[in-house]
Amino acid sequence: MRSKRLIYLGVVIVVIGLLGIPAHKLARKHVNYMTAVEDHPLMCTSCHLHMPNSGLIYKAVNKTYLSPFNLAISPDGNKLYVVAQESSALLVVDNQTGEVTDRIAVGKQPHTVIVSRDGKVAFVSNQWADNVYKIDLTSAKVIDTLKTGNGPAGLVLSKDEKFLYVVDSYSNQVSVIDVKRKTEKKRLVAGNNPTGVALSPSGDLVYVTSRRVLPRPYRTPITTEMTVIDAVKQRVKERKMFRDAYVMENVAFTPTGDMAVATLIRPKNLIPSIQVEEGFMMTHGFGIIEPGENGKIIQLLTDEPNAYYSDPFDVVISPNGKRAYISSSGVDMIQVLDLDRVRKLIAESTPEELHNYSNNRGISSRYVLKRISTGANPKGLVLSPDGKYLYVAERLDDKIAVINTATLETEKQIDLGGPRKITVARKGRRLFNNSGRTFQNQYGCYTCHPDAGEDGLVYNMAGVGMGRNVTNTQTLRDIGDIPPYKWNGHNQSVYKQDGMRFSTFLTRTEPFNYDDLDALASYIMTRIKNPPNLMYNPTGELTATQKRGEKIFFRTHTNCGKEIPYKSRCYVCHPPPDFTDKLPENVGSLSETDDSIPFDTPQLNNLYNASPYLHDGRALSLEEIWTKYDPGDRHGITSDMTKDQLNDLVQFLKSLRDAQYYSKYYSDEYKPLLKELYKNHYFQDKNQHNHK
Amino acid sequence: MNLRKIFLIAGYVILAGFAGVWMISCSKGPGQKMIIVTRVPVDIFHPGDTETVSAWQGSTLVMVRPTDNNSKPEVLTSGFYSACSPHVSYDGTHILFSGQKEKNDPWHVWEMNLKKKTVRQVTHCKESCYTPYYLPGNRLVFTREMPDTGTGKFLTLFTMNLDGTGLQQITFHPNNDFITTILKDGRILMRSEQIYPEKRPAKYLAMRPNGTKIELFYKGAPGTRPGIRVHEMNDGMIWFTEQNAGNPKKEDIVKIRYNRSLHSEVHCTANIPGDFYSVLPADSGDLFVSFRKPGDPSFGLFTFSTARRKIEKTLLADHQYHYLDPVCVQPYKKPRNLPNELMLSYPTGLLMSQNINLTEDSIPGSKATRIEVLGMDHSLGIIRVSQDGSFFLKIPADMPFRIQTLDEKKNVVLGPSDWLWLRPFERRGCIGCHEDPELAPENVVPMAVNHFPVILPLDSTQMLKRSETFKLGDFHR
Repeated sequence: MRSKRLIYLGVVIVVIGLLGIPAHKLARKHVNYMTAVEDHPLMCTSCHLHMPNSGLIYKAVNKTYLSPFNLAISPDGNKLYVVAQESSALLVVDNQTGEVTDRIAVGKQPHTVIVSRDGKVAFVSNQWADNVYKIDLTSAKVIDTLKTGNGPAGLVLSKDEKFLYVVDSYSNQVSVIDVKRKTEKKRLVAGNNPTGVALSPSGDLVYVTSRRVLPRPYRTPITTEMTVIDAVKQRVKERKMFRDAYVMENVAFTPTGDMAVATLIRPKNLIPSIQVEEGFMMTHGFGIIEPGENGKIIQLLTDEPNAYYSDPFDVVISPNGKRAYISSSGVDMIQVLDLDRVRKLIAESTPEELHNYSNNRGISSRYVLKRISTGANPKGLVLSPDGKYLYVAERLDDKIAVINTATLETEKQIDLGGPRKITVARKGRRLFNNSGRTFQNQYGCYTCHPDAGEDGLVYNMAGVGMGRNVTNTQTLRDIGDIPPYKWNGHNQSVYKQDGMRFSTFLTRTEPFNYDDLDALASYIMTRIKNPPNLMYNPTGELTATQKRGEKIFFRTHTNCGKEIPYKSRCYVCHPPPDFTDKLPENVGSLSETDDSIPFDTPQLNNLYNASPYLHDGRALSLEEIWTKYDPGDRHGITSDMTKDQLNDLVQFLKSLRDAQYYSKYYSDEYKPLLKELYKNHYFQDKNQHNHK
Repeated sequence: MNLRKIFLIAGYVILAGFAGVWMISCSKGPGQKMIIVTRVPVDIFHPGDTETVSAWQGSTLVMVRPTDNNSKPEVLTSGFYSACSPHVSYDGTHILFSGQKEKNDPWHVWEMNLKKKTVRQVTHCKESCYTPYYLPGNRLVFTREMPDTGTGKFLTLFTMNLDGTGLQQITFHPNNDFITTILKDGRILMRSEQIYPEKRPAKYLAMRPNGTKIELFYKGAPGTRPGIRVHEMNDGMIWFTEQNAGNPKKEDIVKIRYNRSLHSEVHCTANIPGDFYSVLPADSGDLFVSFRKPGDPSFGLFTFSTARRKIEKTLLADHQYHYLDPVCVQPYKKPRNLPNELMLSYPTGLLMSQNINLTEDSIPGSKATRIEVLGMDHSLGIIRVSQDGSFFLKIPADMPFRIQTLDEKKNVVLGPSDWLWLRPFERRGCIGCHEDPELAPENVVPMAVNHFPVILPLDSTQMLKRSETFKLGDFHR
């Protein structure tokens, strides 16, 4: 009996051994393929535990953090109101005890909070809900919901507090809301992806920043708009242009109104990115806007020759107008500017000198008083009414830093009570938002992928030559299931995308270690959500125009009744849910400066606000893809279409939402076509990718 | 003895062990760590000599514990005729140094296990090799004397694996190069002094360990000469000594900020009577210095208070020897291991400049429209630049060249520059010519990169043709 047991045990061991050796080999092969290296630890959990983007494992492993984004302070300075972006809540914090006394549920992805002068009412913009909540702070209750344009972000009240200016960040507008009547009085056209807003001290002007550059001819210098609104007439008064700058997140006025200060980045996307040592990729700083129509616009850097202070986000100015504080969210620092020195520099300098200063990395030593370290990813700032304390929303630490403005030291951190555990994806998000993994902190993933999307710029990464193979930044939202990556489709996984070659040609410094790479890949793979497409497809029900466009998208015959070749049908290369077949295609978009390669078919989800288009960003609008850059019908068959039909198609494309929506739903009308398509090659290809 | 007692004793032993380790290795101020210093016979070394190498015959490495007044210096290199230039490994267990076993031997790089005191020879070149430094990735970098090929002897930098394989030259100009430190950002900081065709002042240049992206890091005032040992601290300060402009026999201690290395120098010991030779900053903010009081024949090792600006304590001093070049024995954070973009089989590199007329040294009324690329003994070609002042060149790799800008009449506007080189497959960019090194580029597409690069060297017929009627796009890669 005993010997029998021993035999069984031996057999089991032998079987396990026999199976284990090839299994181990297969696992090694799989890991090598996915990571594109041969020494990544053979840990199944690296991917299979931390990277699922839905289901029970996802829920068990991941946490919902608070992620404080912006904040406001009560007029008496006793309470802080903190927007917890990830938890869709407004936190009320007792400034004395540092305790969270109330948690008010607000809409999806809240952005900004402001408080009325009497301290009784707060307004919170819900960026993914297209509304603003009016909150009674005494009862901590939402008392009104004010409809806005798409993507409400920055908020400011008029001087008499009768009107609320809401920056509609996705629809590029500013909603002027009559607070008493709870109605939107008018919408004004702003710049591209506007966000920040400030009211001049006199109350007659509203400045609105924008993040994305204005459409411009291919590979020409960039310009970003600061919209100036006449707050009396409620009309756009002026559009001030910031050349060579973008991602202007926020703006603040000095108390006397002698200048407004806006954060900005000065990218170097038009230059081959070959000499990061000399600032060939990004520089960071602020813009000064002098009052009046002929007021100067000056740009100055906060960087230093061997140190960059990336991703400036918020700016506040002390009550005496002598200091500005800027949160450099990519390097976890607050920069303290001496505004009197800035004024002196401007007064003493010729226009030519000021222009040179905008690219001078040494000039910051003339006006940066101090750089104060903070917790992870400092975003919104607010000063106490007396200016003695600066409060900093440390987004990825779930804390508020309290800085004494006399000593310029951090006095304490207010813990908002987020989850204690730092998940792998959260660690990855910190890495994503931090520039510490690029040479001299010049840029982070976030810099070119703000909010994990794309910055709308075309870069010359100069992988081989210079001036060749320029590429349009691609979004990182919702890309977990759509390998390969990069326009050339050379990267079969996010691991490879962010691996050695990434450090050689992009970050130009030591590559991520495997723990960090696991974390970064986990953050990206767990599906960074696209904003809901509330502008073009709020309910899922298509408009008549969009339905006509959908029909064109799925058409199999031209207007003349001729059958469209299989590979020239829109839906074949762009099938739902991701609207990509994940295969390389040549749609005739190669230019003389491109190597002769096919491009990975891009996904189309949420493409309505992702201009420019095509691999090199030549098409400024969706229409241009076909009207200007597809003369030979290589990018689908479109030459037979009428202008109205093209408009319908474009409207349908703009209606596309996130992939998860289409994985649950697709119109019965087109299911047979999709079924046939999947049979042909779609799943075969998917299997090929997933089982290597 | 019962089990409880055994556990208790074992606990005490472990605790005592930890305490011992803590006493030895944990330190916050100068003095609690071990220091290795180079002991040099007094008649060998004379500061202010125009020595090119800090390799002193008869020198010895000795280790001292600065806090222990009674400890005698421990001689580490008794088997060597000469030994100097120690560099401590990142884990604090080994040192690299340059040494001579016998008087007439060439200098070689050696590695010593500090615990076992065993040594092994790392380099085996015919020529002398000096000043080794550890690099991340199990490599080292050192200075090697190059044979005279008609333009003089130069000191050139090489890297290799710690096991002696994978030798690679990384500097390619007629200069004397010394590694001064490995910056925390992963770059090599070297003191470079041009000696051909004319001497130019020494300066600190930073470059990647593969010899790419070389750029100016620090240049002293006219008449000064920075030393060859630099220390970068965790607070971002960089310390070194610099030959005084007024008195070449005297050196000052200088500190600069890494973040703005060209414009942040502070002379810390100006007006202090006596001479300084080397500096080693301690975590406390004070310094270990090689210092000689006025009238003393030799440099001793002292502590220097930065707050009080005075020499405080004598650690080593004797009239027979100088004590120079102290280094601290302790583990420290590895610099970043920078990625290597080179393809050594590639015969060329690419060079782009955005605007040759962007310069600090412009001559009023003159505008450059061409550049001439000069090799060691001949011109590689004259090229008309693009309308915006940009150029784009493909140049043989690992070959020294200089650039001068010319006007329409081919008169020299500016230059020639310092020597440059490109490594195989290196892609290098400049903003201007002799421009303010703190400038970042304008965000515009340089017109020259809209076309293929001009391939150098041009032959004489091409030169004439290209310089007169160069059409962009004529050249293929």
